[in-house]
Amino acid sequence: MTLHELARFLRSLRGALNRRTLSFRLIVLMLSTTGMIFIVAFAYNYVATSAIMLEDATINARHLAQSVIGRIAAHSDTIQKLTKSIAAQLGARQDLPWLYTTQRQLVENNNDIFGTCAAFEPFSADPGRRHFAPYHFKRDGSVSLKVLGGTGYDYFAMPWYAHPKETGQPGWTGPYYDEGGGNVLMATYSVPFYRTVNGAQRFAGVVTVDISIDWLSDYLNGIRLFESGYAFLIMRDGTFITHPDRRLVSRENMFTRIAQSGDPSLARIIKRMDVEPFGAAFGRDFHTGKRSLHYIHSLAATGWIIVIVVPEHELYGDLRALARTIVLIIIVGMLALFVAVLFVARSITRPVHSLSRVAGEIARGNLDIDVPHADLANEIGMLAESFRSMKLSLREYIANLRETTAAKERIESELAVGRTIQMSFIPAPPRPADRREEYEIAAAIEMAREVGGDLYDIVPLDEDRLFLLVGDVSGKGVPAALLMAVTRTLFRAFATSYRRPAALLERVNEELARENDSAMFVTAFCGVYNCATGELAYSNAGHNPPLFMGADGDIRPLAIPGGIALGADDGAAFGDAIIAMRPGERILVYTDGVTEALNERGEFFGEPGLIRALARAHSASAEETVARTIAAVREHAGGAPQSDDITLLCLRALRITTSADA
Amino acid sequence: MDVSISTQEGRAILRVAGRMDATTAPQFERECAALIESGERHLVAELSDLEYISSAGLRIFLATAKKLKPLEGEIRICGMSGLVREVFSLSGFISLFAIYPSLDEALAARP
Repeated sequence: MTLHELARFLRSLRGALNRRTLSFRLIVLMLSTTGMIFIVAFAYNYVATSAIMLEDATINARHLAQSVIGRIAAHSDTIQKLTKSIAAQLGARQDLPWLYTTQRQLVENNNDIFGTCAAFEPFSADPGRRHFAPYHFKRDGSVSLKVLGGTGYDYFAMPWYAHPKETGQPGWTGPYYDEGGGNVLMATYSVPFYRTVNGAQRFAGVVTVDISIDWLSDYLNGIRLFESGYAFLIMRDGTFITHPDRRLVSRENMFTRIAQSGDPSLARIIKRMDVEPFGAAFGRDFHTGKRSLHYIHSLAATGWIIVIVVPEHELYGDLRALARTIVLIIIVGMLALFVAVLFVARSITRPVHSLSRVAGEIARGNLDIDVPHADLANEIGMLAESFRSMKLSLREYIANLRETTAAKERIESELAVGRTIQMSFIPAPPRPADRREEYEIAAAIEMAREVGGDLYDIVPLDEDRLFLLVGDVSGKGVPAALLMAVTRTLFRAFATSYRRPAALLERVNEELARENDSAMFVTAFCGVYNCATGELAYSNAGHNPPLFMGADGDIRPLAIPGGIALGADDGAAFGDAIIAMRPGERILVYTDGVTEALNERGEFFGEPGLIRALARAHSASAEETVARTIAAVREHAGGAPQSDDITLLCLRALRITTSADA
Repeated sequence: MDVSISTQEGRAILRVAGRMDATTAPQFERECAALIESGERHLVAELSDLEYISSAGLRIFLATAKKLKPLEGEIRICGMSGLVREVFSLSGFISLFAIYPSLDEALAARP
């Protein structure tokens, strides 16, 4: 692995371990779960196995103790029987020669017997002697006799004598090394004997047998449990009978050692031996200082106690080695699992990452990018498939959108052209500077999105006469706008040439109807207002009749002479009409965009609606009338789009200087 | 707007229902053009179900009439009511067309 590859691996690892990623959560979840399972299984196994091992070790120790006990019992049985037999005979016989012979034979015939002694109560064997205790023992390969007792050796207080005397029971004492002998470890078995004096049983002395317990020591010291587990014997008082450390034997007391450096629970178990002949405890071994299992068993026949010691680390040594191996396996397994989960997580997240990268690309508008193929059988594959189809539909949608946008733009540009044409042929609204005191005039045009070809014009013909025109071209869009431009130009061209409005209409119609293959037409109302006389002479070509508003609030459609829309019929004739206006009276000329304005329910504003709107303002100025009408139409339409142009022209007479009759 | 076409007594009858405005008028124009193309010369527009007609609609009638004139054909109009009749009369178009109260009368009338 090169340095570069290592760096890349570490980067991807860091990416995977980012807290927010799927990989991280997957790894944490998997490892913590399996780790928990491992730990629980391992801990249970360890605890259960160590309990089994402890139990096994205790059973082993008990078996060992029992076999030791069996050996010792078998051994000591003979000795005890021989000793008891001598004691029994001594109760009946007085003769020393027999005693001496018996003692000599006993010592001679038994290898384990080191010596035997019969110690008498004061003055009981010989009325002249306070101490009398003949002792036959091995010395230099033969049996010697020594009579013990005297001021230097007052045996009455010694345990081997005093104890049987007090209890009436035989018992063991020792161990000790023989004095001056071959460093032989010995123990003494003492049996009391009694004589009948005056018909009563009287304690007469003690028969003892000293036996070598070297064999016992060798036997016990040869015992090995596990690596360095060992066994030793003590007496009930704590005196060591055997111990691998020979220096302790007969010199030291176990209770003292325990008190110094051991575990006091051992002492408690030993003190309870009468009740419970065996027990086990963990504790510090006073000898080795190691924490160890102590198994303690009493040897009932001798009153000795065997102690078996096994260091804990050896007891559980195998288990600990096993545990180390298992922990190692777990660690290796967890690492393998980590790698496996990382691999799985990356195999999941890599396609997801590349998908999200692709999604980002798509979001930036790159629809030509390839969506990576994933295994189709799983969810990632399905996701990739969805992405692919999303990309395709997006591409299609965008293509459609482009097309429709282009078409829309074409339409929009057509709309814009139509609008521009119409705008350039609409006169600027009358300015305040043009105001005259004889009349007010106001006009407005509200163009629909698609122009409807409305037009109006206001042209002063001379000092007193004012030409007015409102028209509406059939159809919409550029053709309507073009015809509107033509119509207005024609009216402008001919307005001054014809005194009668009907004649003007006839002239314009002639021009428009000529070669009118598209069958477009224009409805128009035109008039000439004489402000001196207040007379409005007018004619109408298929246009909706204007409204007349009297100063008293009376509103009615203006009576109009018949006439067909301009351009529809060549040679059409039009009629003239005239109305004499008085100050305060108004004429409102409008296009059908006003009355045919729809609201959201598809209802027309209508002539009645218009009249209602105007009735509320019967003394309004021309400008106000126009503004109010537009506001009323808008209010009616609400949210509905304006479908046709709205054109309004209002003339209000203010002053009349010359009577029409004059 | 709905246009249904039938033939009766040698005349093609166009029953127009709904609204004929700048948006829907081209459809009516196409129907009329198709009939003329297929050789029909005598059309009858039955407008009793027509709710509204705008100037764009009027233009189609005018254009159709103009097309039929040199072919010695004509378009008759019948069944106009309310608003539609008002638009025809206001615009003066009523004088340009042969107009009948009902379809029967339109069919029965002599050319």
